[in-house]
Amino acid sequence: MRKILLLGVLFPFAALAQQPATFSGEGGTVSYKLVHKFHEMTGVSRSVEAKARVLPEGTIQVAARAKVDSFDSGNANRDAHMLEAVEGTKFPAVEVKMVAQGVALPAKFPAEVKAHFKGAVVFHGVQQPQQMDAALKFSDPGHAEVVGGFALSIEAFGIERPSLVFVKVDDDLKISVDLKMKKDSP
Amino acid sequence: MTKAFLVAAAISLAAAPAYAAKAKKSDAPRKEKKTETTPAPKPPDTSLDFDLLGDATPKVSAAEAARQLEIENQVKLRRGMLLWHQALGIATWVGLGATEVVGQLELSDKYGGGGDSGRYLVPHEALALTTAALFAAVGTLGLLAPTPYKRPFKLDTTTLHKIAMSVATAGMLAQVALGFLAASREGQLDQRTFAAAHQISGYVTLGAMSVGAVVLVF
Repeated sequence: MRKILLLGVLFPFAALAQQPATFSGEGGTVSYKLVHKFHEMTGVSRSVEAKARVLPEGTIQVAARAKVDSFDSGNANRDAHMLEAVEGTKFPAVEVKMVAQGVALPAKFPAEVKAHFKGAVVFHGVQQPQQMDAALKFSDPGHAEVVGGFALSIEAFGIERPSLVFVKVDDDLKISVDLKMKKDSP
Repeated sequence: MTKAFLVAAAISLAAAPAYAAKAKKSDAPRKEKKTETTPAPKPPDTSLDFDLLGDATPKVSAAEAARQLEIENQVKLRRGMLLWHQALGIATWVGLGATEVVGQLELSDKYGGGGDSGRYLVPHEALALTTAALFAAVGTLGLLAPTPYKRPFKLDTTTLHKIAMSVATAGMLAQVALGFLAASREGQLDQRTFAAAHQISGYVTLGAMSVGAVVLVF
């Protein structure tokens, strides 16, 4: 009888340890850097939707989305030109979906873990494969910050490169990600 | 009793995996010697077949599709107009510079010991009128280009460009008026005063145009 009681106590706790954990974004930024022969331009979005799911075997699934009209470079004309180039009305958002495998989650906090993500970016209605090296900074078990970056080819997404004084911007678009995530309550 | 329960709960957290393994061992048949095969680990899920955010793409109504088409057309028109605005703007800037040089030569010829030969008069007038016409065309293209994506006002490079070009427009109007006025005062003592004012407004216009171009490009 005592053995049965003990089992009844043990297994619920064992089951909880095997549940996937979901994190939701609570702030953070996504920014792009564009280079023209005569100047550089950085646009920052502070309206990023993000969610991450940590699976028991160390797999992390991440999805993030930002509206293209939320990017602010500090220059209204350049922001408008960017929206024209990416057809912001037709394709209002840029989305990222990535997976990292075999991530060793920390047991002690604060801690930082490196992860290599593989996935895809959907931009201007075109999906392209993408990889990203990121640092996962855990301040405590319920809060994490994802810091990483990657480079895109503008033309690979079917976007005509904007130009100024008949000189086009570089094809390379550098993306930086800094997402603050909070664990969802069960 | 409560204490015992709490202690058992704390121990179970640490001992759960070990207990599960032990439970498995006791289920195994004792007589037959079989090698236990641990199940192959589940391959990690690398597919992107998951949806954490939900579909944000709104269904496009007929009215929205028509609006998108309108915006596309406005963007095409805007891009075409601004391309001409840039090309003609560069031509105007170069033309204005040439007008200033020839105008300075004219002034030196008339009042600087050049003998007042008048040989720079016609070229200066031709350049001035051509540049004024180009300036008007450039300004019209810039003002009339549609703005399908409206952004909030900011004191940025575009605003500085517009301010500088507004000063250049005032200078252009002034120097055209002063140019005609100076020409009409031929032989009069005050002609030199009007000519000097015309010269100054010319340099101010060129300076403002240069600032307007540089702030936008760099």
